[in-house]
Amino acid sequence: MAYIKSIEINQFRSIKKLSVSGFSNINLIVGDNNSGKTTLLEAIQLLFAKSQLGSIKPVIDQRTVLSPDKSSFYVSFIKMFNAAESRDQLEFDISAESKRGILHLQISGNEKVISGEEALQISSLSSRQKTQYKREAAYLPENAKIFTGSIAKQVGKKITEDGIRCTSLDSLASLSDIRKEVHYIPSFGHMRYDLLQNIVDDLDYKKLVIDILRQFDKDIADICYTKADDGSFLETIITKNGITMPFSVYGDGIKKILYILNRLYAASNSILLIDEIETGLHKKYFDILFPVVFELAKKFNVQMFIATHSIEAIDAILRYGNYENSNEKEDPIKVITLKKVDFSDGFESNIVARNVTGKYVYDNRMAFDFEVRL
Amino acid sequence: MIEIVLVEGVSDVRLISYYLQNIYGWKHENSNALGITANDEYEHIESLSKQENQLVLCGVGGNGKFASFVEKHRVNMMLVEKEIASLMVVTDRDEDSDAKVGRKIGKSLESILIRAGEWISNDIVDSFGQRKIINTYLLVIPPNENGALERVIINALNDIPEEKELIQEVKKFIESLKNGLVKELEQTNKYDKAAVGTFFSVRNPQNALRSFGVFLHKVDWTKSEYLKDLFLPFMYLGTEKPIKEKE
Repeated sequence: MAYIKSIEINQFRSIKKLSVSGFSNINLIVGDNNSGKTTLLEAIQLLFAKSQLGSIKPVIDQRTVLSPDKSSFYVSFIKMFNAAESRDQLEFDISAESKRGILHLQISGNEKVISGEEALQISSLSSRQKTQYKREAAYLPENAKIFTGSIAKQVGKKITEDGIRCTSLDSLASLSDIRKEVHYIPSFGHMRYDLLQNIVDDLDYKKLVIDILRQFDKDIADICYTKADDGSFLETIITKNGITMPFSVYGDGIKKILYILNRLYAASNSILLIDEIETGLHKKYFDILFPVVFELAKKFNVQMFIATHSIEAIDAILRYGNYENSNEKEDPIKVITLKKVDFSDGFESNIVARNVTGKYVYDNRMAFDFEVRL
Repeated sequence: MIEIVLVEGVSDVRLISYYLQNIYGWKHENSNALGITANDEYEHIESLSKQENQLVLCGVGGNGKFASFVEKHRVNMMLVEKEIASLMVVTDRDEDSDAKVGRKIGKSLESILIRAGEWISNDIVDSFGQRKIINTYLLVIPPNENGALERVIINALNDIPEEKELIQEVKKFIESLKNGLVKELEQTNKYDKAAVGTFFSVRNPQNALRSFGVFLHKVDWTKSEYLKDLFLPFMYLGTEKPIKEKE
């Protein structure tokens, strides 16, 4: 089972140096906007990337998936390094203590300016794309950038290091998935559908999911794929009256619930990262959904990292801890608050973390105005 | 800047709040920055503000309730987690020395030191691993004799020209009772309570059965030099504290 106990991040995005230890089964990641919550989730994913740029790309792309402003792969890649670093030597590393031993990823190298022509020759573009570039010379920049370096990986005792090279002309179309030990649910992931894939193949799980959905909409009788007029398959809900309704006519709440339950099943024996769990969900459903999700995570051996801004979501998750009545010594919930702190010179900043138990947060919130999100 | 002041009972809250408002310019607020609310009918929480500063005045519920208040309200966690600039404790001396009172109060406080009559700067690490300073001050009342808040009130009344004659007459009366009719009055605290109770009953007969809060505003406490000296440390709430340089 993939399970990380601690993580250390150096020079990655806005984080200069951050250590968090003592992760639990349910880890809540909270903090202000721009405090590094998504960065922490990305760092966890990168621990499971292969030592190829193509394996880094899906993590980079998550930030821009809904953005109309499509930065080039190169720009997004360079932004992974801490902005305060010298451009001569770029390096970030992420390491974690896991049940499989040490996990470590380090990307290092340097960036320099070369001519556009030279960049085109070196780039990973296909010969057809290169020809097209040359034909439309107006679009070939006079100068371009190149990053040359290496990706070093460690998984347990196995250490690998591969050279990497990337120019600002590269689009890096070919993708290499990160390993299945980590799964990621972006805040608006449910809008891209893919809601049923893992659910419909397991009849018991499907029955359970329908039971859960009925708590939100009692008219739901079944979920399945149906064939559209153009021959494509639609993710569909069938109501008690036998009416077939594609998910597109349903609200975000139902889709979000299905998306979480679908990914949770796929994440068996691995790590599930959920960014902004509250997106699309009305707070009145938190107390129905969260206990189910956490019990299923326990059953499927899933370690969860959940980022949220919502105090209602935090309180609902803490209610799962049942701290008023439980004397269990091992707290299933950890609350990790990230905070941006400026250095005294006023030019640099870092992200720091507070890692406390769910019970500590619950007891403090009962006693005084304890703000976990800052 | 948030300041927190822990005192014993509701009478302490009333007198100190009066003083902070009338001498040091603090204003009453309806809610406090720490989100503390009274857990029972004996606790009393009052909120004050001055410019950007907030002050939370907490009556812990009476003599001997300091430790349980600190535990129930998680004051130690609050000091670590909230942006609190200082903690001041005002407590009765009864028959103890400054050092003994300091030890008793200090037992309940986890990561900070507190000492009678002295502002101490405590350099602590918060739960993000960041350093922060919490200043502490312990005010033991009355300052140089046995007793509690009632002795402070008697001394202050003795110091206000309009009240002096009456309080002295009351003291003579209570004195006359203690050698026979009411043996209990031989105890300092009981004597002082009887004197204060009698004074306010005679001073405001129509309110004789009301609480100290009602009587409080019948006296101009700002005229007492004794009280001015005793409450001088309140001057530093909401501002920089006079911390002694370490030798």
